[in-house]
This record gives sequence, C-alpha cells and structure tokens, in this order.
Amino acid sequence: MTSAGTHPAPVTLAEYVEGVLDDDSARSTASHVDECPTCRQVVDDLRGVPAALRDLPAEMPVPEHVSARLTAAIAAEHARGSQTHAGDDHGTVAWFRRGVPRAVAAAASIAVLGLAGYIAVGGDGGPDEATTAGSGAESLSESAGENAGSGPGPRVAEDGGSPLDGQMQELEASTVTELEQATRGVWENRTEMAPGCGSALADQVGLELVGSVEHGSGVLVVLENPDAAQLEGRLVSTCGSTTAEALAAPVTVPVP
Amino acid sequence: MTRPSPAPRPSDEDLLRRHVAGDADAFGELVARHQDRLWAVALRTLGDQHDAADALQDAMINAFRRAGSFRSESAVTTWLHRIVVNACLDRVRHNAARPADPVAFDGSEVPGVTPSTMAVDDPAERTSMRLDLEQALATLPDEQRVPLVLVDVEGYPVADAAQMLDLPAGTVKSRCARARAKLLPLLAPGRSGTTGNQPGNDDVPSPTTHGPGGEQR
Repeated sequence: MTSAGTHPAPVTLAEYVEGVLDDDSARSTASHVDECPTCRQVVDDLRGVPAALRDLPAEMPVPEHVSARLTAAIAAEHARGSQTHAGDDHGTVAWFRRGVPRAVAAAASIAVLGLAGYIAVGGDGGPDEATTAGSGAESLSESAGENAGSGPGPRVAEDGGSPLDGQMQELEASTVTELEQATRGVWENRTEMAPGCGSALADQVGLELVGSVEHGSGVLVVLENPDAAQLEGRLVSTCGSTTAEALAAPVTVPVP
Repeated sequence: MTRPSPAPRPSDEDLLRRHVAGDADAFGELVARHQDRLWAVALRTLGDQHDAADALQDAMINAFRRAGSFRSESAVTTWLHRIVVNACLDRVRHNAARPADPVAFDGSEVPGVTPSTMAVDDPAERTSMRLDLEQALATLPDEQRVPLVLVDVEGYPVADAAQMLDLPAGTVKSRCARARAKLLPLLAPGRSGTTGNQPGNDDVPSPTTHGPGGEQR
C-alpha cells in the first residue's frame, strides 16, 4: 500500500508500542509507521486498549451460588476454628472442594453466559442467572427437591476415584459427633433448609423425612426410621442429592 | 474534610480486628462488602466461573486464617485483592499442570475477536462493547490474559506483575502486547488497519452484529 512496504502485523505494532521489539525491528517499524497513516491509526488504537480495559467496571455481581458457597465455607472455617486453631491448612479446603455441590460446576460451565447475564441485568446480579444456566445450576440453598435422582451435570468428583474416599478419611471423630448433634437439632427444631429438602434421599432409602439443615459444605438430611426408633443423619451435597452424593457416612442416633 | 456518611459503619480494619478477636460475623461481613470486587478480579483473571469460584473460596479461607498477620501498612482491600490474585495464579498453575486442552499456547488459533461496529456514545452499545471485551478477555490464553488483566485491568505496575508471575518484565510486556493486539479489533471496529494480517479473525462468525456502519470515534 505504501512505499514503506507491507504493513507490520498488529502484534508487531503492539510490541512496538510496548517497546519490546529489538532495535532493528523497532527501527523499521518506526519508519513504516511514520509514513503509513493506516498503521499510525492502529498504533493509536493500540494505545487505547489499556484505557478501555481500565474502564471495565471494577465490580461484577458475584453469582448467588458462589456467594452461598463462600458463606458456607466461612461458616465451616469458623466451626473448624473453634475446635482446632491453625493446624493443617489444606484439609478443609480440600474437603470442601470435593464436597461442594456439583451444581456449582454445572453453573460454572456457563462462564461467558454468566457475563452476559451480569451485563444484561445490571446491578442486582440477575435473578435469572441460575435459570439461564439451566438445570443443575440451582444454588445450594435453592436446589430443593427439584433435581431429585440423577440430575444432569457433572456431579462426579474430577479426580476419578470414588468421591467418597478422601472425604471419609478426612472426617474425624469430632465431625461424627457434630453430625449426631446436628441430627438431634433438626429433630428438635424441625428445621428445613428448603421445603422438601432431602425428599429425594428419603424416597430413595425409604425412610421418613424429618428435616434438613445446612452443614459445612453440604446439607444434613435427617430421616426417621420408626421401626428402629432411630434417626439417620445423612450429609449430602444438595437438597436434591441421593446417597450417590453422600459427603460422609450416615450417622444414627436414637430418637430422643 | 468531613465524612458525609452519618451511618456508623465499621471500617474494613475494624472488621478484620474483630474477626481476629473472635467475632463470628465480622469476616463474613468483610467478604460480603468486597465480594463483587474480588469476584471481578477472579473471573477476569481466570476467564472461567468454575475456576474463579474455586480461587475465590481458596482466597477467602486463606484470608480468614491469615487475618492475624495482616499489617495495616496496606489497605485491607489491597491485601484481599492480592490474596485473590495469588489464589488465581495458583489455579492457573494447577490448570497448567493438567493435561492440556487443545488450545495451543502461542495463541495463534485463539478465536479472533471480531469487530463489532457500533457508536460508542450509546450507553447500550457501550455495555455491549464491555461485554465483548469481557468475552474476548476470557478467550485469551492464560499466559496472555493473566498478565494483561494484572497490568491493564487491575493496574499493577509491570514490575509487580512480573514478580507475581515469576517472569521477566520484558516477557510480561510482550505478552500484554500480544494480548492487546488480539483485543484491538474490538476497539477499532471496521478499521482493519493492516490489510490481511489481522490475527485470525476471519474464520469466526461475529458474536455481535450491530448492523452496518459506524466507525468508532
């Protein structure tokens, strides 16, 4: 196009702008740009890129499922902190990552969609974000009984092995006691994390649903076995989980 | 200068101090206060919601545990920000250690950013350009996106970014330059600049069609 020969590639111009070209290339690029209005324009535009990036909004509404997950993680960290302080730094996080509802993974597969959501709906984080994500994307607190049974979505631990192995090992005796206490608490207070939360599990194992409560990274579903006069506390990923998504071995306590 | 806010709101440092002193709600409040900002950092740095959620959680747990070692020579927000960035970098390394996805790391076949032609003074179009930019950022390879986000979006000096990434400053600059070249068509729509050698944006359909015409600026 110009006497200066072929245009440098945009990458070269960008490197030129950034000052990372070697001397020879920088010289020849400079002399081309001097004579070429087209490339001068590209150079100007390139200088505008950092400004445009800097202008991106500093905040993005955190999706509800992420926020719920943070809250649960912090609560678990509190619970943990009251027993042992400091100590191993990876146990809880590792346990959490495996234990956290797989719905999060499903929701996450919509990364760019989520961005679209945030921009389209603006400040309030977009009530439809979860629904946009499709089934499986319900937040921890909202999943209720809807994805009963084998819901869609990547609900299997990534690391191949049984999702239970690691979690079981990391559950200490104190955790069992906690689960037992929480089980009794649900019986006494008849708490429900959401209406019908745990009904899928109750149906599956054929026991009566007593109630449910958020526990650590998951949901403690309490079932009653009237024949044995026992309560069963089962810690699972979400309200809609079955035993396939157990996060801990079930605990049993006598009906108080 | 008087502070205009009549409502007594504990400062970030107060919250952190209370947390260290055993207040069970303080840390949650601190997180609630800043999570949108920190989420933006994590999501842009990692370009993936799943990874960003993991990183943010790791970061908050880390901050929770390390709160006692916070020294007020920096703002709490700066401190949190940095912890999130570090968690993101850990994620990137973790992901890099996994069997690679088919995306090659020279970035040559990264989907081109297709220019959308728009008038930038229209707020809706501005929003749309922002969305395009966010999406485009997410499609950059990690090795380019991470330095670019640190330097251009988050405003870290190149030297700081280089230190965080454990890379020479020159490498950081050059990766930023490459990334900017890929984002360029978004900001200079309809102006293909150098003919025929734009980075592969001819084989990808435009994500947004805003109709004809309208060069920016």
